[in-house]
Amino acid sequence: MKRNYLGEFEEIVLLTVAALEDGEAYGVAITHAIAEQTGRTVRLNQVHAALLRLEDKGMVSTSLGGATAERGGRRKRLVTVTAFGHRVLREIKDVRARLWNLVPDTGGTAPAV
Amino acid sequence: MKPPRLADRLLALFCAPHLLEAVQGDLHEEFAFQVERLGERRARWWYWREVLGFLKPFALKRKPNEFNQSFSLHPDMLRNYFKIAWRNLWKQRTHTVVNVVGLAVGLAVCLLIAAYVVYERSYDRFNRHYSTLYRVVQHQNQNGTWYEVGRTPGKLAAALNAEFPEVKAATRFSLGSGALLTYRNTTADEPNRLLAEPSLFELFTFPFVQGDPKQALESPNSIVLTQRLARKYFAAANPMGQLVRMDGKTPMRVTGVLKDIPANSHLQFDFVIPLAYLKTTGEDIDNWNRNRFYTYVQLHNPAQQAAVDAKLRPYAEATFGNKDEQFYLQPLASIHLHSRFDFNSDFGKRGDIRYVRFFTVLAMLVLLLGCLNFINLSTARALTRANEVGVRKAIGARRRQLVAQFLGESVLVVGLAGTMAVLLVQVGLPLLSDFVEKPLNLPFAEPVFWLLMVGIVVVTSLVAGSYPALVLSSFRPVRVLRGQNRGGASGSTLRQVLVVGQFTLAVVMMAAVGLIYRQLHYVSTRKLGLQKDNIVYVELKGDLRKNLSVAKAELLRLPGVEAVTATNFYSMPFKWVGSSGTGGIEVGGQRVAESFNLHDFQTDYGFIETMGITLAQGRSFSPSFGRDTTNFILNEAAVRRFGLKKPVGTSLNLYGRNGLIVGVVRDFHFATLKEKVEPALLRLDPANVSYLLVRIAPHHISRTVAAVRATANQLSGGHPVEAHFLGQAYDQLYQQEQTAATLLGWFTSLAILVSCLGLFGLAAFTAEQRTKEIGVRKVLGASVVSLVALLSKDILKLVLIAIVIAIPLTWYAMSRWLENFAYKVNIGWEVFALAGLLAVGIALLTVSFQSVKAALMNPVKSLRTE
Repeated sequence: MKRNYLGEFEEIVLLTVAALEDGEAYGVAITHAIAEQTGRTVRLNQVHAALLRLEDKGMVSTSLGGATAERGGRRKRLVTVTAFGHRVLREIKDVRARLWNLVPDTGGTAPAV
Repeated sequence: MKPPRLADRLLALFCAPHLLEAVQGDLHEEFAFQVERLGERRARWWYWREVLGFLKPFALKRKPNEFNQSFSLHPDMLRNYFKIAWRNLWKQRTHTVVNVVGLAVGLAVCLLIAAYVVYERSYDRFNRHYSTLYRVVQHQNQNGTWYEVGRTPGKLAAALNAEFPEVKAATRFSLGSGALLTYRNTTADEPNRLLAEPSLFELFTFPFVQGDPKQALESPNSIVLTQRLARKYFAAANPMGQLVRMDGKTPMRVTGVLKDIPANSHLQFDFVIPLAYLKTTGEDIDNWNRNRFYTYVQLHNPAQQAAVDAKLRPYAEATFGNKDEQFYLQPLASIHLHSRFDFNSDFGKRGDIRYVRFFTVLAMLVLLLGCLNFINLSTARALTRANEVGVRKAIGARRRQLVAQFLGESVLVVGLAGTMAVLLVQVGLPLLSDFVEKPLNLPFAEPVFWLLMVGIVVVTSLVAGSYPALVLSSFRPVRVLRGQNRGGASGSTLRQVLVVGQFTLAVVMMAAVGLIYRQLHYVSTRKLGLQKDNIVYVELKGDLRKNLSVAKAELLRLPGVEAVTATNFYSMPFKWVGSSGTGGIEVGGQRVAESFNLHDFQTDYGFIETMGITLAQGRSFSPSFGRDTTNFILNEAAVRRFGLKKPVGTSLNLYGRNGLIVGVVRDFHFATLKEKVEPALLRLDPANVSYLLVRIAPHHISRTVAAVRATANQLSGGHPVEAHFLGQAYDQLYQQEQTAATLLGWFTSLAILVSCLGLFGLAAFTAEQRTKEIGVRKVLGASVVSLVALLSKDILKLVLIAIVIAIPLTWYAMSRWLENFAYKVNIGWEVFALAGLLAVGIALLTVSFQSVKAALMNPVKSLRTE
């Protein structure tokens, strides 16, 4: 059962994954990226939970790899956005843009989403 | 620099294995980062917090298997389980029937016995003050022996009420002979009369339908009827205020109607009259020297029992100087099952806790037999399910699922058995109820009962089904599917142990039943020293006592009447003939030094002749000797106790009656064979007799008895009298044992049936397993006989072991039981031989049915398919 619905945090995680380079998107990196970009404090378990949900929804796929010494030789769960995930992101963006266009003059320009 | 080990361990413990690596890796990486940012100490705190952050469902949830997983509660799977279960049950019909019937019988027996046990334990519980009510009874010293006596002096109740602060209320009553009641045209002898005080209704919960419990027994000439009697005498009319004539003369006014006394009350009566009535007849009921009442007290608190007991022990000596009587309290709860009083000094029919316990154990054992069958056959049959288990495992079933499946199947089978058991109980309960003469019932209408049934079914399925489920689910798919699993040797050992257990039980029960029947046969046929058969006794009621001599003459004129005499015993048979200590007796002019109980028969002429008692020496009483009323006849036991060399002619002084011993009779049994014949003395005292004894000819018995009854009723002045057989009264003495024996017989048959079912199933299984072997043997020229022997040998061996185990067990149990009897059969080898032979026979019959079938099979059929 795949839902097209994304929670706010899930959307941020998905976007962050999409933004990160291939082979760079995994728990710690995503957490740091989100913290840097949004300024919120994010905890690892939240990110992991969101990733699992996204995986369930088929928007990301994961694979294991890229062990480092810091990790005690443990592999990372590397995340990539699937085609479906990309489409969902794009749809969300389109919807938002359409909605912004409908917003009457607010004394500013529509932000580039 | 490592993160906290303990936190890591914790994470490893709860985190799902497939997530652990990445999570832990991330945590470690982040830890290294945090150490630089926060410093080590705070980073460690941070780590703990993060780990605990993973204590969330997403991280806990395990991915059950790497492979595709079916959801075992999915409707499709459930349907599959049912289908497979049903197919298996149907495919192995014999096995199913054996299992279901065996368990159903076990459960039914269990339920029936439970109904009986629950009923026996339900006595008197309807009383509001059940837990605080006590009967005051006593230990009584008579000539050096302490007896249990249920009756107490008339003054006791009032004295306890006044002197003991622990006692909240006390009452006394008397249950003597019945009375003749007359109202208009209805006259009947009502044997169950209670003489009581108003406080009876304070202590006991006997609700009134009409009338006031406080005032109903105020006037000495009042009477309270139960609803049953009220209906009998007054039909639909209102009995209140009406006059009922008692014993043909005294008018009594009906002042109340009681609800019928519950059948499970230890105190049974049909009507009550005030104890004060006895005073109007001039009787002294308030004294210390006669134990004729039953005294009951209600304490404020059951915890006071011990304190009251301690005060009661010296009470008789302190109050009226009798140191041979020690009172104590008997809780109401123990009256029905724990009463064992001497001298017939208790009333009513009591149960026996030993039989209740015995049957409880029996019920468990029979159910256990059924369960053993189930375990046995299911493990044996496990093999046929091995492939299914292999396939299920190969396509992803986990062990837990398989266990659940097989347990579920056993719930199904046990559920079937439970349903059948309930049906069996519906049929069996009325029969059992009739047989034990108690209104047994099971609360079929109450949800609690069904809840309990479901509970029993579930527990039984768990007990009986868990072993097969564990064995079956432990099969390794690879080995099973390659056909390497050969049933497991441990399973077969267990099976053998179970068969031995079953047959041990069966043999013990058979031998026990055999012995009990032998003992009962022995007591009913043992020469009692008197001829109890063809003797009819009639109680001297109404005018019969006055007309005794006329009655004797009239009766002797009847055809078929051979002899007539009379005696004084008042409870049949001679259970309680008055007995007196020998303290005041002089024999041969000398006081008797040794003190013992001497049973005192007051008889009419012809007692010895009519009863067929053998005279050993001297002569019987005879009208031709004028002074015979002061003479005595002893039994041999008395002669031995007195130590007389030449008894006949010796003088004997019985409390002022001075006479000679004119004869000695051989010992005759006047009590149960549980007791030794005690010393007895016969004397001629026609004025004090209370029963007529009539010896009748052995042909036309019913006609003669009818004539005796008619004659007695003519002479009783309107008081209806009944004629009873003495032989039946003797048999009544062993009624409890008879009932137990018959029940045991029935339950034994059922237990054997269950065992045989098990054996049958097992034999069928063995034969099936060895189909190929038998085929090969036949092809190579084995005879049918040798094949049957081959197949039966193993099981016979087990039965023999069972017999060897059973013999000492039975011997021990039965010698304990026989200790109840002073006169008993020997536990001979015959009983064991018989039980053993029966067991072997039954086992052979059961097994050979299958072995012959297997041995006769065409080898072509069995060898064709591989």
